[in-house]
Amino acid sequence: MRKCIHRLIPYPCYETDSVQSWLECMAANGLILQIYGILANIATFERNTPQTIRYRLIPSQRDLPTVSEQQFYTGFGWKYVTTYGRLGYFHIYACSDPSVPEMETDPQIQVLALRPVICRTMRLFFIALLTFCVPLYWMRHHILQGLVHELWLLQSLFLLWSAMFLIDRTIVMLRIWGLRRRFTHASPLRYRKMEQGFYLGYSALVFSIIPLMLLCICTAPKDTRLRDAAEPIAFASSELYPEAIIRLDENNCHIEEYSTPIAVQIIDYSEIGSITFPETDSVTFEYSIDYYRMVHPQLAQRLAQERAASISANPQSTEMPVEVTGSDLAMAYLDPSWYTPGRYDTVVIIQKDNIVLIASVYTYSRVLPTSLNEFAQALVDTITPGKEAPNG
Amino acid sequence: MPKKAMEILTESMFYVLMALSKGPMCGIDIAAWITQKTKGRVQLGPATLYTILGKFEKEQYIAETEVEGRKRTYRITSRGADAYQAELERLRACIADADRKEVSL
Repeated sequence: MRKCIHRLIPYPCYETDSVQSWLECMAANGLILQIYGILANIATFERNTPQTIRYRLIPSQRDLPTVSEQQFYTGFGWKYVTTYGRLGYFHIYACSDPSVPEMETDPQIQVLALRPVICRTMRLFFIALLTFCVPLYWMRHHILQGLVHELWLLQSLFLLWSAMFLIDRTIVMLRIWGLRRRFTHASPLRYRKMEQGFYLGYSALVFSIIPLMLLCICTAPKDTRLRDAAEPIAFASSELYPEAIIRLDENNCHIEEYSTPIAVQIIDYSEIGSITFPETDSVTFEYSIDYYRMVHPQLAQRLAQERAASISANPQSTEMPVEVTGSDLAMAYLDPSWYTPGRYDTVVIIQKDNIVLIASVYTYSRVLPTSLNEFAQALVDTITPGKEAPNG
Repeated sequence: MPKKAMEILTESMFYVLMALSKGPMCGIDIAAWITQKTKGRVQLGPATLYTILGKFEKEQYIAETEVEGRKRTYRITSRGADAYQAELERLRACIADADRKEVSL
Protein backbone atom coordinates (compact mmCIF):
# COMPACT_ATOMS: atom_id res chain seq x y z
CA MET A 1 0.00 0.00 0.00
CA ARG A 2 1.31 3.44 -0.92
CA LYS A 3 2.30 5.58 2.05
CA CYS A 4 2.06 8.93 0.26
CA ILE A 5 -1.14 10.01 -1.41
CA HIS A 6 -1.74 13.06 -3.58
CA ARG A 7 -5.07 14.80 -3.76
CA LEU A 8 -6.32 17.71 -5.81
CA ILE A 9 -7.10 20.62 -3.47
CA PRO A 10 -10.78 21.41 -3.91
CA TYR A 11 -10.64 24.95 -2.43
CA PRO A 12 -8.53 28.03 -3.10
CA CYS A 13 -6.37 29.46 -0.30
CA TYR A 14 -8.78 32.26 0.59
CA GLU A 15 -11.47 29.71 1.47
CA THR A 16 -9.72 29.16 4.79
CA ASP A 17 -12.66 27.56 6.61
CA SER A 18 -13.33 25.10 3.80
CA VAL A 19 -9.64 24.20 3.53
CA GLN A 20 -9.43 23.63 7.28
CA SER A 21 -12.56 21.43 7.31
CA TRP A 22 -11.33 19.46 4.30
CA LEU A 23 -7.95 18.78 5.96
CA GLU A 24 -9.67 17.74 9.20
CA CYS A 25 -11.93 15.43 7.23
CA MET A 26 -8.91 13.89 5.48
CA ALA A 27 -7.19 13.35 8.87
CA ALA A 28 -10.35 11.66 10.17
CA ASN A 29 -10.03 9.30 7.21
CA GLY A 30 -6.40 8.54 8.05
CA LEU A 31 -4.74 10.95 5.59
CA ILE A 32 -2.37 13.26 7.42
CA LEU A 33 -1.22 16.38 5.60
CA GLN A 34 2.44 16.61 4.61
CA ILE A 35 2.72 19.20 1.84
CA TYR A 36 0.00 21.48 0.62
CA GLY A 37 -0.15 22.84 -2.90
CA ILE A 38 3.57 22.73 -3.62
CA LEU A 39 2.85 21.61 -7.17
CA ALA A 40 -0.12 23.62 -8.42
CA ASN A 41 -3.22 22.56 -6.50
CA ILE A 42 -2.05 19.19 -5.23
CA ALA A 43 -1.67 18.23 -1.58
CA THR A 44 0.43 15.34 -0.32
CA PHE A 45 -0.86 13.19 2.52
CA GLU A 46 0.64 10.37 4.53
CA ARG A 47 -1.53 7.34 5.16
CA ASN A 48 -1.88 6.73 8.89
CA THR A 49 -4.48 5.80 11.47
CA PRO A 50 -7.58 8.05 11.52
CA GLN A 51 -7.02 10.98 13.88
CA THR A 52 -8.85 14.02 15.15
CA ILE A 53 -6.62 16.92 14.16
CA ARG A 54 -7.45 20.61 14.04
CA TYR A 55 -5.88 22.53 11.15
CA ARG A 56 -5.62 26.29 11.03
CA LEU A 57 -4.48 28.58 8.20
CA ILE A 58 -2.55 31.55 9.57
CA PRO A 59 -1.79 34.56 7.33
CA SER A 60 1.94 34.46 6.68
CA GLN A 61 4.18 37.44 7.42
CA ARG A 62 6.84 35.99 5.13
CA ASP A 63 7.28 33.03 2.75
CA LEU A 64 8.31 30.59 5.48
CA PRO A 65 7.79 30.92 9.23
CA THR A 66 10.92 31.67 11.26
CA VAL A 67 12.19 29.20 13.83
CA SER A 68 11.16 31.54 16.65
CA GLU A 69 7.66 31.83 15.17
CA GLN A 70 7.35 28.06 14.98
CA GLN A 71 8.68 27.71 18.53
CA PHE A 72 6.20 30.31 19.75
CA TYR A 73 3.27 28.28 18.40
CA THR A 74 4.79 24.99 19.54
CA GLY A 75 4.83 26.42 23.06
CA PHE A 76 1.05 26.71 22.84
CA GLY A 77 0.61 23.23 21.35
CA TRP A 78 0.34 24.08 17.62
CA LYS A 79 2.75 22.44 15.19
CA TYR A 80 3.76 23.97 11.87
CA VAL A 81 2.93 21.58 9.03
CA THR A 82 3.48 23.38 5.73
CA THR A 83 2.91 26.58 3.83
CA TYR A 84 0.15 26.99 1.32
CA GLY A 85 1.71 26.25 -2.04
CA ARG A 86 2.89 28.50 -4.76
CA LEU A 87 2.87 31.90 -3.12
CA GLY A 88 2.89 31.14 0.58
CA TYR A 89 -0.04 33.26 1.68
CA PHE A 90 -0.91 31.04 4.62
CA HIS A 91 1.01 28.80 7.00
CA ILE A 92 -0.80 25.66 8.06
CA TYR A 93 -0.61 24.61 11.71
CA ALA A 94 -2.03 21.46 13.25
CA CYS A 95 -3.01 20.41 16.74
CA SER A 96 -4.38 17.08 17.96
CA ASP A 97 -5.05 18.17 21.56
CA PRO A 98 -8.63 19.50 21.90
CA SER A 99 -7.77 21.38 25.11
CA VAL A 100 -5.28 23.67 23.33
CA PRO A 101 -6.77 27.15 22.77
CA GLU A 102 -7.83 28.31 19.32
CA MET A 103 -5.20 30.09 17.17
CA GLU A 104 -7.20 33.22 16.45
CA THR A 105 -9.40 34.74 19.10
CA ASP A 106 -9.73 38.35 17.98
CA PRO A 107 -11.12 39.06 14.48
CA GLN A 108 -9.71 42.61 14.52
CA ILE A 109 -6.21 41.24 15.10
CA GLN A 110 -6.85 38.66 12.38
CA VAL A 111 -7.41 41.56 9.98
CA LEU A 112 -4.16 43.11 11.16
CA ALA A 113 -2.34 39.82 10.46
CA LEU A 114 -3.82 39.77 6.97
CA ARG A 115 -2.15 43.04 5.94
CA PRO A 116 1.18 41.56 4.72
CA VAL A 117 -0.80 39.03 2.68
CA ILE A 118 -2.89 41.82 1.14
CA CYS A 119 0.31 43.74 0.28
CA ARG A 120 1.77 40.61 -1.33
CA THR A 121 -1.35 39.94 -3.39
CA MET A 122 -1.35 43.56 -4.60
CA ARG A 123 2.33 43.36 -5.52
CA LEU A 124 1.70 40.18 -7.49
CA PHE A 125 -1.32 41.73 -9.14
CA PHE A 126 0.84 44.56 -10.49
CA ILE A 127 3.49 42.08 -11.64
CA ALA A 128 0.73 40.12 -13.44
CA LEU A 129 -0.55 43.33 -15.02
CA LEU A 130 2.95 44.10 -16.28
CA THR A 131 3.38 40.51 -17.52
CA PHE A 132 0.18 40.93 -19.49
CA CYS A 133 0.93 44.41 -20.87
CA VAL A 134 4.50 43.74 -22.05
CA PRO A 135 3.67 40.98 -24.61
CA LEU A 136 0.59 42.93 -25.65
CA TYR A 137 2.73 45.99 -26.35
CA TRP A 138 5.34 43.87 -28.09
CA MET A 139 2.75 42.18 -30.30
CA ARG A 140 1.20 45.52 -31.21
CA HIS A 141 4.49 47.05 -32.30
CA HIS A 142 6.32 43.97 -33.58
CA ILE A 143 3.53 41.90 -35.05
CA LEU A 144 5.31 41.32 -38.36
CA GLN A 145 8.63 40.53 -36.72
CA GLY A 146 6.82 37.97 -34.58
CA LEU A 147 5.29 36.43 -37.69
CA VAL A 148 8.55 36.51 -39.62
CA HIS A 149 10.37 34.68 -36.85
CA GLU A 150 7.40 32.31 -36.35
CA LEU A 151 7.01 33.44 -32.80
CA TRP A 152 3.26 33.78 -33.07
CA LEU A 153 2.60 30.45 -31.35
CA LEU A 154 4.92 31.30 -28.48
CA GLN A 155 3.54 34.84 -28.30
CA SER A 156 -0.07 33.65 -28.29
CA LEU A 157 0.63 31.05 -25.62
CA PHE A 158 2.46 33.58 -23.50
CA LEU A 159 -0.35 36.10 -23.92
CA LEU A 160 -2.94 33.49 -22.97
CA TRP A 161 -0.93 32.46 -19.93
CA SER A 162 -0.35 36.07 -18.86
CA ALA A 163 -4.09 36.82 -19.26
CA MET A 164 -4.95 33.85 -17.05
CA PHE A 165 -2.22 34.81 -14.60
CA LEU A 166 -3.75 38.29 -14.40
CA ILE A 167 -7.27 36.90 -13.87
CA ASP A 168 -5.91 34.52 -11.23
CA ARG A 169 -4.12 37.31 -9.34
CA THR A 170 -7.16 39.59 -9.60
CA ILE A 171 -9.44 36.92 -8.16
CA VAL A 172 -6.99 36.13 -5.35
CA MET A 173 -6.54 39.83 -4.52
CA LEU A 174 -10.30 40.46 -4.41
CA ARG A 175 -10.93 37.32 -2.39
CA ILE A 176 -8.24 38.16 0.16
CA TRP A 177 -9.89 41.56 0.48
CA GLY A 178 -13.13 39.64 0.97
CA LEU A 179 -11.49 37.67 3.78
CA ARG A 180 -10.66 40.96 5.46
CA ARG A 181 -14.31 41.96 5.25
CA ARG A 182 -15.36 38.56 6.51
CA PHE A 183 -13.13 38.84 9.57
CA THR A 184 -14.48 42.32 10.32
CA HIS A 185 -18.18 41.70 9.71
CA ALA A 186 -18.31 37.90 9.98
CA SER A 187 -19.88 37.83 6.50
CA PRO A 188 -19.55 34.65 4.42
CA LEU A 189 -17.44 34.55 1.27
CA ARG A 190 -19.45 34.04 -1.87
CA TYR A 191 -17.19 31.53 -3.56
CA ARG A 192 -18.28 30.66 -7.06
CA LYS A 193 -18.00 27.19 -8.59
CA MET A 194 -16.87 28.87 -11.81
CA GLU A 195 -13.56 29.74 -10.16
CA GLN A 196 -12.77 26.07 -9.64
CA GLY A 197 -13.13 25.48 -13.37
CA PHE A 198 -10.87 28.43 -14.03
CA TYR A 199 -8.18 27.07 -11.71
CA LEU A 200 -8.29 23.65 -13.35
CA GLY A 201 -7.91 25.27 -16.77
CA TYR A 202 -5.14 27.50 -15.49
CA SER A 203 -3.20 24.55 -14.00
CA ALA A 204 -3.64 22.57 -17.23
CA LEU A 205 -2.30 25.50 -19.25
CA VAL A 206 0.72 25.97 -16.99
CA PHE A 207 1.61 22.30 -17.42
CA SER A 208 1.02 22.22 -21.16
CA ILE A 209 2.85 25.47 -21.92
CA ILE A 210 6.20 24.19 -20.63
CA PRO A 211 6.68 21.35 -23.20
CA LEU A 212 5.38 23.65 -25.96
CA MET A 213 7.88 26.36 -25.06
CA LEU A 214 10.66 23.76 -24.86
CA LEU A 215 9.63 22.52 -28.30
CA CYS A 216 9.78 26.07 -29.68
CA ILE A 217 13.25 26.58 -28.18
CA CYS A 218 14.59 23.18 -29.37
CA THR A 219 13.43 23.74 -32.92
CA ALA A 220 15.12 27.17 -33.06
CA PRO A 221 17.84 27.46 -35.74
CA LYS A 222 21.36 26.58 -34.70
CA ASP A 223 24.17 29.12 -34.70
CA THR A 224 27.14 28.68 -36.99
CA ARG A 225 30.44 30.28 -36.17
CA LEU A 226 31.62 32.65 -38.83
CA ARG A 227 34.89 30.80 -39.38
CA ASP A 228 32.83 27.69 -40.24
CA ALA A 229 30.79 29.51 -42.92
CA ALA A 230 31.39 28.00 -46.34
CA GLU A 231 31.27 31.21 -48.39
CA PRO A 232 32.44 34.78 -47.82
CA ILE A 233 29.67 36.99 -46.40
CA ALA A 234 28.91 39.95 -48.67
CA PHE A 235 27.94 42.28 -45.85
CA ALA A 236 30.80 41.25 -43.53
CA SER A 237 32.95 44.22 -42.52
CA SER A 238 35.94 42.71 -44.37
CA GLU A 239 33.90 42.73 -47.62
CA LEU A 240 32.48 46.21 -47.04
CA TYR A 241 35.89 47.73 -46.23
CA PRO A 242 38.59 45.81 -48.13
CA GLU A 243 41.11 48.61 -47.50
CA ALA A 244 40.77 48.45 -43.70
CA ILE A 245 42.64 46.25 -41.26
CA ILE A 246 40.03 44.26 -39.40
CA ARG A 247 40.70 42.08 -36.38
CA LEU A 248 37.74 39.91 -35.44
CA ASP A 249 37.12 38.03 -32.24
CA GLU A 250 36.30 34.85 -34.12
CA ASN A 251 34.73 33.13 -31.14
CA ASN A 252 32.08 35.85 -31.06
CA CYS A 253 31.26 36.02 -34.75
CA HIS A 254 28.20 34.07 -35.74
CA ILE A 255 25.96 33.47 -38.68
CA GLU A 256 22.55 31.86 -38.56
CA GLU A 257 20.41 31.13 -41.61
CA TYR A 258 16.86 29.87 -41.78
CA SER A 259 13.53 30.42 -43.46
CA THR A 260 9.92 30.80 -42.46
CA PRO A 261 6.73 30.82 -44.57
CA ILE A 262 6.73 34.60 -45.06
CA ALA A 263 10.49 35.12 -45.14
CA VAL A 264 12.10 32.70 -47.55
CA GLN A 265 15.55 33.56 -46.24
CA ILE A 266 16.63 35.08 -42.94
CA ILE A 267 20.25 35.62 -42.03
CA ASP A 268 21.30 36.76 -38.57
CA TYR A 269 24.90 37.82 -38.75
CA SER A 270 27.07 39.27 -36.01
CA GLU A 271 30.74 40.09 -35.53
CA ILE A 272 32.86 41.73 -32.85
CA GLY A 273 36.27 43.22 -33.46
CA SER A 274 38.27 46.31 -34.25
CA ILE A 275 38.69 48.18 -37.51
CA THR A 276 41.57 50.43 -38.54
CA PHE A 277 41.58 52.52 -41.69
CA PRO A 278 44.87 53.87 -43.11
CA GLU A 279 45.86 56.96 -41.08
CA THR A 280 43.06 56.55 -38.51
CA ASP A 281 42.85 55.20 -34.99
CA SER A 282 41.53 51.75 -34.33
CA VAL A 283 37.78 51.61 -33.55
CA THR A 284 36.33 48.78 -31.50
CA PHE A 285 32.94 47.73 -32.75
CA GLU A 286 30.15 45.21 -32.61
CA TYR A 287 28.34 44.77 -35.84
CA SER A 288 25.20 42.83 -36.58
CA ILE A 289 23.02 42.40 -39.63
CA ASP A 290 19.51 41.06 -39.94
CA TYR A 291 18.87 40.09 -43.55
CA TYR A 292 15.33 39.22 -44.63
CA ARG A 293 14.21 38.07 -48.07
CA MET A 294 10.44 38.31 -47.83
CA VAL A 295 7.86 36.68 -50.07
CA HIS A 296 6.51 40.07 -51.17
CA PRO A 297 8.03 43.60 -51.42
CA GLN A 298 5.08 45.10 -49.48
CA LEU A 299 5.80 42.82 -46.56
CA ALA A 300 9.44 43.86 -46.74
CA GLN A 301 8.46 47.53 -46.64
CA ARG A 302 6.08 46.93 -43.71
CA LEU A 303 8.82 45.08 -41.81
CA ALA A 304 11.31 47.90 -42.37
CA GLN A 305 8.76 50.48 -41.23
CA GLU A 306 7.83 48.46 -38.16
CA ARG A 307 11.46 48.17 -37.14
CA ALA A 308 12.02 51.88 -37.72
CA ALA A 309 8.94 52.72 -35.64
CA SER A 310 10.13 50.59 -32.73
CA ILE A 311 13.54 52.31 -32.74
CA SER A 312 12.13 55.81 -33.06
CA ALA A 313 9.71 55.08 -30.18
CA ASN A 314 12.76 55.41 -27.92
CA PRO A 315 12.95 59.11 -27.00
CA GLN A 316 16.76 58.84 -26.77
CA SER A 317 17.16 57.83 -30.40
CA THR A 318 17.75 60.41 -33.13
CA GLU A 319 16.92 59.98 -36.77
CA MET A 320 19.90 60.71 -39.02
CA PRO A 321 19.74 61.81 -42.63
CA VAL A 322 21.01 59.17 -45.01
CA GLU A 323 21.36 59.37 -48.79
CA VAL A 324 21.77 56.26 -50.88
CA THR A 325 20.92 55.28 -54.41
CA GLY A 326 19.30 52.05 -55.53
CA SER A 327 17.10 51.39 -52.50
CA ASP A 328 13.33 51.80 -51.95
CA LEU A 329 13.68 52.82 -48.34
CA ALA A 330 16.70 53.92 -46.28
CA MET A 331 16.62 55.13 -42.70
CA ALA A 332 19.24 55.56 -40.00
CA TYR A 333 19.08 56.15 -36.26
CA LEU A 334 21.60 56.92 -33.55
CA ASP A 335 20.56 55.25 -30.36
CA PRO A 336 22.65 55.81 -27.18
CA SER A 337 22.88 52.63 -25.13
CA TRP A 338 20.88 52.91 -21.91
CA TYR A 339 22.85 50.19 -20.12
CA THR A 340 26.42 51.03 -21.23
CA PRO A 341 27.16 54.73 -20.87
CA GLY A 342 29.17 56.14 -23.77
CA ARG A 343 28.15 53.38 -26.16
CA TYR A 344 26.21 54.22 -29.32
CA ASP A 345 24.14 52.03 -31.58
CA THR A 346 23.85 53.21 -35.15
CA VAL A 347 21.04 51.40 -36.92
CA VAL A 348 20.66 51.51 -40.68
CA ILE A 349 17.49 50.09 -42.22
CA ILE A 350 17.45 49.45 -45.93
CA GLN A 351 14.70 47.97 -48.05
CA LYS A 352 15.01 47.16 -51.70
CA ASP A 353 12.24 45.16 -53.36
CA ASN A 354 11.61 42.11 -51.18
CA ILE A 355 14.84 42.45 -49.19
CA VAL A 356 15.32 44.16 -45.86
CA LEU A 357 18.71 44.78 -44.30
CA ILE A 358 18.93 46.00 -40.74
CA ALA A 359 22.48 46.81 -39.72
CA SER A 360 23.44 47.77 -36.17
CA VAL A 361 26.90 49.06 -35.34
CA TYR A 362 27.81 49.49 -31.68
CA THR A 363 30.72 51.83 -31.10
CA TYR A 364 32.04 53.97 -28.27
CA SER A 365 31.93 57.05 -30.43
CA ARG A 366 29.08 58.99 -32.02
CA VAL A 367 30.74 58.66 -35.43
CA LEU A 368 31.17 55.53 -37.51
CA PRO A 369 34.56 54.40 -38.89
CA THR A 370 33.38 55.77 -42.26
CA SER A 371 30.61 58.19 -43.19
CA LEU A 372 27.04 57.00 -42.69
CA ASN A 373 26.19 57.49 -46.37
CA GLU A 374 29.19 55.45 -47.48
CA PHE A 375 28.33 52.69 -45.05
CA ALA A 376 24.66 52.62 -46.09
CA GLN A 377 25.58 52.67 -49.79
CA ALA A 378 28.00 49.77 -49.29
CA LEU A 379 25.15 47.84 -47.70
CA VAL A 380 22.74 48.64 -50.55
CA ASP A 381 25.33 47.42 -53.03
CA THR A 382 25.40 44.00 -51.36
CA ILE A 383 21.74 43.46 -52.16
CA THR A 384 20.84 41.86 -55.43
CA PRO A 385 17.08 41.31 -55.45
CA GLY A 386 15.68 37.98 -56.58
CA LYS A 387 19.07 36.25 -56.33
CA GLU A 388 20.35 33.97 -53.68
CA ALA A 389 21.53 35.20 -50.28
CA PRO A 390 24.70 37.37 -50.07
CA ASN A 391 26.66 34.36 -48.88
CA GLY A 392 24.98 31.91 -51.30
CA MET B 1 -9.40 47.09 11.05
CA PRO B 2 -8.96 50.81 10.54
CA LYS B 3 -5.58 52.11 9.40
CA LYS B 4 -4.98 53.99 12.64
CA ALA B 5 -5.17 50.74 14.57
CA MET B 6 -2.88 51.87 17.34
CA GLU B 7 -4.87 54.96 18.31
CA ILE B 8 -7.50 52.85 20.02
CA LEU B 9 -6.32 49.56 21.41
CA THR B 10 -8.51 46.51 20.97
CA GLU B 11 -9.47 44.57 24.07
CA SER B 12 -6.77 41.96 23.41
CA MET B 13 -4.13 44.62 22.88
CA PHE B 14 -5.16 46.40 26.04
CA TYR B 15 -4.86 43.23 28.11
CA VAL B 16 -1.44 42.44 26.65
CA LEU B 17 -0.17 45.86 27.72
CA MET B 18 -1.83 45.38 31.10
CA ALA B 19 -0.05 42.07 31.57
CA LEU B 20 3.32 43.49 30.61
CA SER B 21 2.82 46.52 32.84
CA LYS B 22 2.97 44.06 35.77
CA GLY B 23 6.45 42.94 34.72
CA PRO B 24 8.36 41.15 31.92
CA MET B 25 6.65 38.02 30.65
CA CYS B 26 6.89 35.49 27.83
CA GLY B 27 4.05 34.72 25.39
CA ILE B 28 2.62 31.74 27.30
CA ASP B 29 2.73 33.66 30.59
CA ILE B 30 0.92 36.62 29.01
CA ALA B 31 -1.89 34.38 27.72
CA ALA B 32 -2.18 32.57 31.07
CA TRP B 33 -2.14 35.84 33.04
CA ILE B 34 -4.94 37.33 30.91
CA THR B 35 -7.10 34.20 31.21
CA GLN B 36 -6.62 34.22 34.98
CA LYS B 37 -7.17 37.97 35.32
CA THR B 38 -10.41 37.93 33.29
CA LYS B 39 -11.55 34.62 34.83
CA GLY B 40 -11.57 33.09 31.36
CA ARG B 41 -13.66 35.85 29.74
CA VAL B 42 -10.77 36.92 27.54
CA GLN B 43 -8.63 34.19 26.03
CA LEU B 44 -5.81 34.97 23.67
CA GLY B 45 -4.99 32.49 20.94
CA PRO B 46 -1.33 32.10 19.96
CA ALA B 47 -1.83 33.62 16.49
CA THR B 48 -3.62 36.63 17.95
CA LEU B 49 -0.93 37.07 20.59
CA TYR B 50 1.90 36.66 18.08
CA THR B 51 0.41 39.35 15.82
CA ILE B 52 -0.08 41.71 18.75
CA LEU B 53 3.46 41.18 20.03
CA GLY B 54 4.87 41.74 16.54
CA LYS B 55 2.84 44.91 16.11
CA PHE B 56 3.77 46.23 19.55
CA GLU B 57 7.45 45.50 18.95
CA LYS B 58 7.26 47.39 15.66
CA GLU B 59 5.54 50.33 17.36
CA GLN B 60 8.13 50.13 20.19
CA TYR B 61 5.44 49.59 22.83
CA ILE B 62 7.31 46.54 24.04
CA ALA B 63 10.88 45.24 23.78
CA GLU B 64 12.39 41.79 23.95
CA THR B 65 14.45 41.36 27.10
CA GLU B 66 15.83 37.85 26.87
CA VAL B 67 15.67 34.69 24.78
CA GLU B 68 15.91 31.45 26.72
CA GLY B 69 15.61 28.50 24.39
CA ARG B 70 12.19 28.84 22.77
CA LYS B 71 11.07 31.32 25.45
CA ARG B 72 11.17 35.02 24.56
CA THR B 73 10.50 37.49 27.32
CA TYR B 74 9.07 40.95 26.67
CA ARG B 75 8.89 44.12 28.77
CA ILE B 76 6.79 47.22 28.31
CA THR B 77 8.58 50.40 27.17
CA SER B 78 7.78 53.95 28.32
CA ARG B 79 5.93 54.48 25.03
CA GLY B 80 3.87 51.36 25.65
CA ALA B 81 3.19 52.46 29.24
CA ASP B 82 1.96 55.84 27.97
CA ALA B 83 -0.32 54.14 25.45
CA TYR B 84 -1.67 51.87 28.17
CA GLN B 85 -2.29 54.84 30.51
CA ALA B 86 -4.00 56.81 27.72
CA GLU B 87 -6.29 53.87 26.94
CA LEU B 88 -7.01 53.39 30.63
CA GLU B 89 -8.01 57.06 30.94
CA ARG B 90 -10.22 56.77 27.88
CA LEU B 91 -11.99 53.70 29.26
CA ARG B 92 -12.41 55.37 32.66
CA ALA B 93 -13.95 58.39 30.95
CA CYS B 94 -16.33 56.08 29.07
CA ILE B 95 -17.42 54.41 32.30
CA ALA B 96 -17.77 57.80 34.03
CA ASP B 97 -19.98 58.97 31.15
CA ALA B 98 -22.12 55.87 31.49
CA ASP B 99 -22.40 56.29 35.27
CA ARG B 100 -23.21 60.01 35.19
CA LYS B 101 -26.89 60.80 35.73
CA GLU B 102 -28.83 62.14 32.75
CA VAL B 103 -29.17 65.93 32.75
CA SER B 104 -32.22 67.19 30.89
CA LEU B 105 -31.39 69.94 28.40
